[in-house]
Amino acid sequence: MNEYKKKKIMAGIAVAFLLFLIIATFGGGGETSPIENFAGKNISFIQRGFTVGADFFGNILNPVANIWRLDKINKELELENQELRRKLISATLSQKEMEDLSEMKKALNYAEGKGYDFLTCDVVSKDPGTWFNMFIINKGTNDGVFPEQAVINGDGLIGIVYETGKDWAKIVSIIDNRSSVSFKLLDENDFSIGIVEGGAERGLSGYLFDPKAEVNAGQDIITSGLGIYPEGLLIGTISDVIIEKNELLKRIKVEQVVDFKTINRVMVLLPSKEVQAQ
Amino acid sequence: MKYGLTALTMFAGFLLQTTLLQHVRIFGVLPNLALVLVVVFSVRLKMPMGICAAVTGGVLQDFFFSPAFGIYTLIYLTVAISVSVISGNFFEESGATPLIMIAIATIGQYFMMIVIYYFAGMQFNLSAIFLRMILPELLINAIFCWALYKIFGRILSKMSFKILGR
Repeated sequence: MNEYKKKKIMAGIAVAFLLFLIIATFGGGGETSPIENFAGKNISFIQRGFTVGADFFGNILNPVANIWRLDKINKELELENQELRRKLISATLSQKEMEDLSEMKKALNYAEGKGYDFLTCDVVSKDPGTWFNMFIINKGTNDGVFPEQAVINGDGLIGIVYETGKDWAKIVSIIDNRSSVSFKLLDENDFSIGIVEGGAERGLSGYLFDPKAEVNAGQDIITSGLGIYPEGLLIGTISDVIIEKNELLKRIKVEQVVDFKTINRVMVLLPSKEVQAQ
Repeated sequence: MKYGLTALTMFAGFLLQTTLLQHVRIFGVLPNLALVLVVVFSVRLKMPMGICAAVTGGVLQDFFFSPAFGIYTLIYLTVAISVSVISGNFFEESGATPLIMIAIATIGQYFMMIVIYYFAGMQFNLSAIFLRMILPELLINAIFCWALYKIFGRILSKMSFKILGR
């Protein structure tokens, strides 16, 4: 057998082996293997050092690089501040506003009475590709982090725990291709529900189950509690409503509240000790 | 030693891409340093080094960021072999060589991903993928590839091909 044929056979075996691995491991989830655990633990440690350094320099350089944009934002904020002051003076805290605040509190899910505890985690590294939107955090099963737990920050829903090692975990964000979240409108009169999904379009898109639902751009959406995400986590704001004659469903585009490029710290929602005891 | 150096370079590239390079997104897209390095190694040092780079970079990405183990390894391996073979017909010192090779590699990478994920049942908008992912990444990869290709060429000539044994 000549050298060329040998190489072709070897390449064929390698491709067949890799295809077998891909099929066997597709979907992921659950706990990682001992090899992944070992690699993950040690490499995440180095990555954490790099991330801290990068964030340090990024925090110094970003304001300088964005000075014109920041100046514009500053002027806009000043105007907004004046407007808000005017509104604050004239406003009376009506019952409806109290309900709105209560709903907002629920949306941000600051956990009272919900049966959850928070675990604050640092983001160690982020997906190097553009296809998916995953990142690694520095807490794992040793800290009570397990697959399918929701991940949030102060702004709203970020994603879900996908795989866990002992001291690290993979998080799939809601803008990832594989992600889909059941939502409801943040409206005291209308609790229409639907599904939003991530995709290559760098945002969320989805649909409402009820074609007669009154929905407008600018409305906030929160998790509905159907499926794996707890109820009441803020997802984003509807940026566009698309009504197509051929389709029964109302399609929406959603601008997510979380800026996924700048997240450095997240919180995993763990079942509270009382819930675990039950 | 030459394989060790190649693997070490890929490891350093992986660390940079998942941490520091996250701050240099352009149009929301990152340069694919692993792919760029696989192309540079495959053109400059030919197939064995290209394969070594592909396996190291692929396995690292598969460990941490892949929905199934082997996807990135398979893609980078295919890119390394294809680029090594195709680049044999090009003049190595030409400035166009790395640009053509990274264009083939980037488009090939996305083509393979689309095929794999299509069979995995994922749905996607092809025009959005082309406009928002492939085109910007192609541009950024080309800039990085051209720069690294030149730097790598100089390092190789300074080393007089002794250490890397070309």
